[in-house]
Amino acid sequence: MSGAPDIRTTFFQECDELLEALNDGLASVQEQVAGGPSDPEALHAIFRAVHSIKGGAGAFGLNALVRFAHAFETVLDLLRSGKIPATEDLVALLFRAGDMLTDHVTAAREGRENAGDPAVAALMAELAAVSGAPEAPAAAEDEGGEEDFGFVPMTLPFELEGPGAQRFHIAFAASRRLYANGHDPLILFEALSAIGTLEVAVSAARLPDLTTLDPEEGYLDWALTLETEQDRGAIEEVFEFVEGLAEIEIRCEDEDPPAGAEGIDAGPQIAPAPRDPATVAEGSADATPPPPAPARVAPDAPPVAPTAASAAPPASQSAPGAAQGASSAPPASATIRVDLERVDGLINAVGELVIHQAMIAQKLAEAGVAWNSDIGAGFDAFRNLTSEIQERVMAIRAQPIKPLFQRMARIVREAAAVSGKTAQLRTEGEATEVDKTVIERLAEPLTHILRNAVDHGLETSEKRVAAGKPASGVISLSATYRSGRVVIEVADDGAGINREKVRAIAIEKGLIDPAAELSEAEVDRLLFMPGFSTATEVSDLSGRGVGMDVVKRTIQAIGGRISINSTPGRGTVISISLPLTLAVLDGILIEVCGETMVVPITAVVETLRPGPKDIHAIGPDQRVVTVRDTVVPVVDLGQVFGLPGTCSQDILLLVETESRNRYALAVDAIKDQSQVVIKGLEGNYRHVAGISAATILGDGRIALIIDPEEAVAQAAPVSPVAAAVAASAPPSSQPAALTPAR
Amino acid sequence: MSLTILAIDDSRTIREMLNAALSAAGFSVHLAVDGEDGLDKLSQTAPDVVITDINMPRLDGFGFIEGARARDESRAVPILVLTTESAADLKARARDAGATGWIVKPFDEMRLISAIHRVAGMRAAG
Amino acid sequence: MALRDSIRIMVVDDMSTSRGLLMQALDELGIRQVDYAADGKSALAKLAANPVHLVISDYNMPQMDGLHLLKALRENRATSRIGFILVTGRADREIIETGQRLGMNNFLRKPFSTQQMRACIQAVVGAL
Repeated sequence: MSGAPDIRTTFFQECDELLEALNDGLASVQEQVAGGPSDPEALHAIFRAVHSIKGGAGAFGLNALVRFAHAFETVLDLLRSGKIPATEDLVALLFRAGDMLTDHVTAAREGRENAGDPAVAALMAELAAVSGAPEAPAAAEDEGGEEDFGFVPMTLPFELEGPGAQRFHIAFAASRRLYANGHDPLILFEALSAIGTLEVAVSAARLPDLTTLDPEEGYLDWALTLETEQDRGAIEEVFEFVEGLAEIEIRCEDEDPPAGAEGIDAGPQIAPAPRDPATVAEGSADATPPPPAPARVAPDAPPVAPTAASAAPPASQSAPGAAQGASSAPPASATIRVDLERVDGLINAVGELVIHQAMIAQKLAEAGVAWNSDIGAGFDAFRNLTSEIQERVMAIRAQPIKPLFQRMARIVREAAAVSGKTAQLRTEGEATEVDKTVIERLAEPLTHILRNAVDHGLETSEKRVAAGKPASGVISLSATYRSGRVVIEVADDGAGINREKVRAIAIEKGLIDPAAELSEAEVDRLLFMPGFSTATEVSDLSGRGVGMDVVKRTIQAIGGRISINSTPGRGTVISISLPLTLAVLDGILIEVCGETMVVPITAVVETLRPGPKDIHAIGPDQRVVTVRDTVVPVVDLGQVFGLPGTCSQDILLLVETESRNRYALAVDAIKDQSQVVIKGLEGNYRHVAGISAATILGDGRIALIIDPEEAVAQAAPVSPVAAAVAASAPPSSQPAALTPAR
Repeated sequence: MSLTILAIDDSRTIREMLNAALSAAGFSVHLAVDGEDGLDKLSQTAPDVVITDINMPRLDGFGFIEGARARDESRAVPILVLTTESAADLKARARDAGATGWIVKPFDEMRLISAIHRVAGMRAAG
Repeated sequence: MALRDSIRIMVVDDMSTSRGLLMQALDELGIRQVDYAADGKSALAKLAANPVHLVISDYNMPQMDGLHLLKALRENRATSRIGFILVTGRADREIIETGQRLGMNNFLRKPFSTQQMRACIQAVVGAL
């Protein structure tokens, strides 16, 4: 059968998940082969993933995919049954097969078939060689189609029963606490009679004589008989609030009483009665087959009646949530799939909502509405709700970075294969969630960085061994949250940046003056300059006509920053810092020389109102402020952005950049703290150093959002040559005396 | 006849939601802003059912229930607590304090009314 | 009233694609009362609360495969009489024979057509 389009979509989504599981499993098997702890489940998981893909592909007639998956699966089957040994070579083959399977799935998704590809045939031949099977893919499957192994279908040994009301016997013994908590058994019985026909028999057997009677104790026991078409869940729901406050036992008449429960329901009025045949209507639409054995009132709660609970059969014991879900509808899936356009529409609408809210706030303030008035308080609640909505909406777009990282494992494998190096990728922080768009746009630059790391970062095995390192290079890819951003690091344990060579190339290409004095960090940053390429010949890998300058621009376009840090002989670390979202930002509204600007709140440590003796001039235009025994450079924002007009600069905003350096931004006033909707600047204008984006204020004016990292770099005293390099990079070249300790 | 409900919550939003939903369902509604206020209003309004939040300033929901249960006139009044999550330990604590039932937030009108029915009976139908 | 209106079937498959295909085929056969579970354990839990007439289960599932589910069903009195059809992608004699020994009512090979599924079900419960 061909399957409806939506099932097809589901199939490919599921393939993604299965391929992820496949790669996880292969990574685990690889560790085992390398001497790690044994995990037999990993191989089973790999097998199941390939098998499931094959199964689904078969249903859609994706024959090339089925054939390949079959060859793959055959090897996996032999491996998991111990018929062939797991070796490094075999694992490498499995990885390649996994990559090929991914390609097949991608091709099928795009409506192509990978059939004619010679690489496929070659890999299938390799797989067949390993499994020792003649290359007759999926033959067993095709030929075995008619084989029934002599199986004779067994007709069901029972008649399909029609529905019917069932009779439940409920023993109910109230405790003292039932009444103390405001319950009334009659109200419970009333609720039961609403779902069926109820007979109530009361027993006062426990009632003591009047002299010892405690008026607040519960002495009465009830034996209830309920005939209902509803199931047990409906009855249990009635008793939800009194669970633990009364002894309750519910038993369906069709079942045998549980062993050990006789003590409770020995009374004649609740002894099992023969089922009334008249209640069994035949062939009606909603057949209700025999219900289960007795279960406790709520499966996840402490036992109500210990005797009944201990006697409950295993099936109902192991059924948490079964009672609640027992009503009728199939259980809702835990996830829904939503068209991304709808989410983005929602995000845009929420963005507008935030702007309008700011406008209303402005109008209210102008109208002189007091914040503690009814309107003010109501607006406050509205504002809280808005920000909650916003947070929740943004969370919809957040996705774990794991799939992207998994793709990178393949990039490293391929890059290593082409360059003849041995490399392995270690990942960390795969669960880190990042905006979907950020993840998508990160794929290309990250691919390039990783190729670079293998191609230029790592040494050949011989050189590594000569340098006393393990033959196989390690590239670490990690993601963490830091200062309200996501930081992604690519670290290799290679030779580090050859700064002499970088410098020579930069001079040769006329990027720097031969006499320029550059710090190590400044040299490293030359790599990001347009037109720079260290490869003497364009390699097949990282070459491809794209330089690190393009990587940097791509990262900047999504509000990110990139920096590089290298230690000779030890390796290179490239850090990418990204915003969590592309849409909103918590900011502090400041005033500088008559302009309103926004500083992201994540960067702000505190605000200061320094006295004259706290500020010291250490040069013609460099001042510092003493904050609790540390010296922090003062950055004049008016000067940085070349704003006309006078600035009082009475207030300092202490900020911490991602490089963990602190600066004091001098501003005229702090106006408000507010959530602002980010409007890209570069779409309408060019990139302005020190400014990350713009936003629309409540009064409709545009305010620029300051990028503290870039802004302080603008003010930092750096060499003219380095200024070009440092324009948008972290100012790690601050004079040591001015760099405060954390 | 319509039942009288006393709803106690320190959040204005929740109070307004309760007021709107319960009034629309035909109940006569009184509101209180915290446990202390709730105990004051309890004597004045003699409610048939009380709905109370747990986390509140001055006197929280547990304190309110204990206070209410200690009084003769409210010893057997059904009290429903509003809990943010279906945390079992919160329900258990509330019940130990003497709560009759609970409503898990976020609630809709149906769940609210149905919880009232379950502790006050069908006569609670507005 | 036709059997297809009254029969209740549960589909058990960990893979939503094959589950979807099974349920779609049942839908095409006019069977409306179809529940599903994504693994053997939750199938048992659901069946304890809401029994069905027939279980159609995939063989290859994590933790509890189709045959283990069958065994568990047959060992529990409340579920022992439920019909069981095993869906399998592999023509494996061992699987089929084990199933037969455990009391499997029929099996269905993947990929299947709606007509094949109809024949498979009818062999167990009679004309739909």
